[in-house]
Amino acid sequence: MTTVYIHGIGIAAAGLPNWNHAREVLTQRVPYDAALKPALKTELLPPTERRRSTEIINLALHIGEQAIVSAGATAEHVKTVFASSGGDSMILHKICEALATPERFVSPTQFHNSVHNAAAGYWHIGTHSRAGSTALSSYDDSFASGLLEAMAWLEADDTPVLLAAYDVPAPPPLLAARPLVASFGVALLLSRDASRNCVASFEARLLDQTSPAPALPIAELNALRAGNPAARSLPLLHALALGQSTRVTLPYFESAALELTVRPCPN
Amino acid sequence: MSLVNALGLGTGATWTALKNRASGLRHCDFEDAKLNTFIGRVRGVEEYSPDARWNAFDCRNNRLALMAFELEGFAAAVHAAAKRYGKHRIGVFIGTSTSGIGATEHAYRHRDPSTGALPSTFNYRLTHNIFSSGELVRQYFGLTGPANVISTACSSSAKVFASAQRYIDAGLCDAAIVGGVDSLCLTTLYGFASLELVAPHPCRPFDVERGGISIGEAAGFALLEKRHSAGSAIVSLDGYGESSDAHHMSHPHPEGLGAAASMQDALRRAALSADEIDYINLHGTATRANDNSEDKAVVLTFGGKVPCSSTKGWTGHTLGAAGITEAIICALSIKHQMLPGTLNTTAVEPGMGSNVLIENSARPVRKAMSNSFGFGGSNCSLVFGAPQ
Repeated sequence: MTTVYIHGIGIAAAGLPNWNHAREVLTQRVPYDAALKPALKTELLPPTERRRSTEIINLALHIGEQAIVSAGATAEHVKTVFASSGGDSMILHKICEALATPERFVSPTQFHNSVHNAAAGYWHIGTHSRAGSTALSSYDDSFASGLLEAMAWLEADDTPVLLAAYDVPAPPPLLAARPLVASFGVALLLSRDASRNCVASFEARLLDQTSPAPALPIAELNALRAGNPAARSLPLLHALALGQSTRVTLPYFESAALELTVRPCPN
Repeated sequence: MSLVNALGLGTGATWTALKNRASGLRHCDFEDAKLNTFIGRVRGVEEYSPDARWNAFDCRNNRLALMAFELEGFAAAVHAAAKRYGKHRIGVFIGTSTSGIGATEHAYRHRDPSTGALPSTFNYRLTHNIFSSGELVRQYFGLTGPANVISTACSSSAKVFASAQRYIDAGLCDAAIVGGVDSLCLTTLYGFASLELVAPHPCRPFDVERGGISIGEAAGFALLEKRHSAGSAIVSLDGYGESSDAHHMSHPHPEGLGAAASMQDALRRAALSADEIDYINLHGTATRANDNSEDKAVVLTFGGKVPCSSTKGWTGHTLGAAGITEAIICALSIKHQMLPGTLNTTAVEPGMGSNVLIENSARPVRKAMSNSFGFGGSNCSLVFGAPQ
């Protein structure tokens, strides 16, 4: 497969509020502090849409914006892959709760926000981008799956792709059925273009055998990795933070893996 | 190919109903929903008893999928492909909008009165989670290749064709199961009702008196291969197009610019000019805004000559399964050299410029396009052709 270049990174999680700070934590220059919460700001939405958006939409837009801005890019012609295991479980909870009452009143705004591609819809409204977009899930393997989807798109077309992977724990009682430990969002702006500023490049291979997730040097991050599908990106983010040439293997379902040969960009 | 919908089990049942102009829509009799609307309900789902092996997956959505797997030699074709290419070389790309949310709806009606907990029998992962049907397909056929479930509302199971084609082109797999599953549930019935988008009569796409959608359900699957083996291919996927409206979450672009971009992208990838398309299966949901927008997009891309129709008067709007349903209808149109018209529609809205067929029409069909557009402004167009 073609070499993919990473131009911008966005991240938002407890203790990893942005990429600059996350890099310091991942390289163990500053200690991990879970009390450090990201501010999910987004400049993208007009006031009417902002009123209707939800926590997970704000998370997805915030990390996407971080990735675009840090790359010094514009979002206008960028395709998007939104990868989330379960989507907006808060909205799904509210709808199922309403449907269990005799009135069964489903809010129209909640209903249109309940689609798995809600964040994608808001992103393209906010950026005025008519580029193609997809939203997918592969349960716990949604990050690797989103990355593969973005790579397949780059293989077909020479247009940048923004990958955003994110999941937010459901409220009770749904939480017990899907016990995520914390929110996590990560975004990567990817392209085939080596000439622009880039953070790193990688080549990918789909392996027909499983591989255990590489351990991270920080215990809390291993717990986060195990407790949120989007945080399964952490081994790759760790490699990017170190800025060294290395090989990262991401588990992909029970009998496959995605092997990434990562190289830092010279700049 | 394999298809289950309100018209019956199998693509043959769908084709017979299309030919005979027999609609699958009926007044809403789903569970205890009290809504004045028509639905396309698959008969026999409530009584269907899947093999005990699939108990953990049991929900309406997965029942539809299981009902479709064994129809028309589909399972045998998948097993043959797995043997030919290797089980790790078959991708799985399924589209759905609400997956098995019906299972969660039921669980919320049976919460523990003191703790509020959901019943212990509720299995979120294998029923409601978006990937549930993808996991079911992988396990049912023993496949280990790349897999995801695309959920972009009503374009979901059109976009699976585009993804699968890209994975095959990139060498990530040699063949793929593409498909879509969406089932009736209170979420969509009451949700679309709250948006005032459901019609009190069977839907009438493009009709001057259309009053909204009729919600349906379906499961459909197709085996996409990098080259057709021994002349068994029914159709070829000649092109795909995808775009975003960048306009509104639940209203299409008023000038149809997003939809037009998707159709033009599909024509470009198929290396076809607009006048080489013999038929367009419209998204044609029968809401006022959707049909107006699509009409403008079709005129912008094709002018007013290419015959087009919406088949949702037969099947209802099967939401995340609409893409695969109408892809299969395009394939059947090419195979049988007949275009379905637009059922329930009597007079196309004056001022609309596209060539909407009301009656069925026997004629040569070499290339057919299928449109699928969803909430969030997610658009996908596919071009199918007679196999070379």
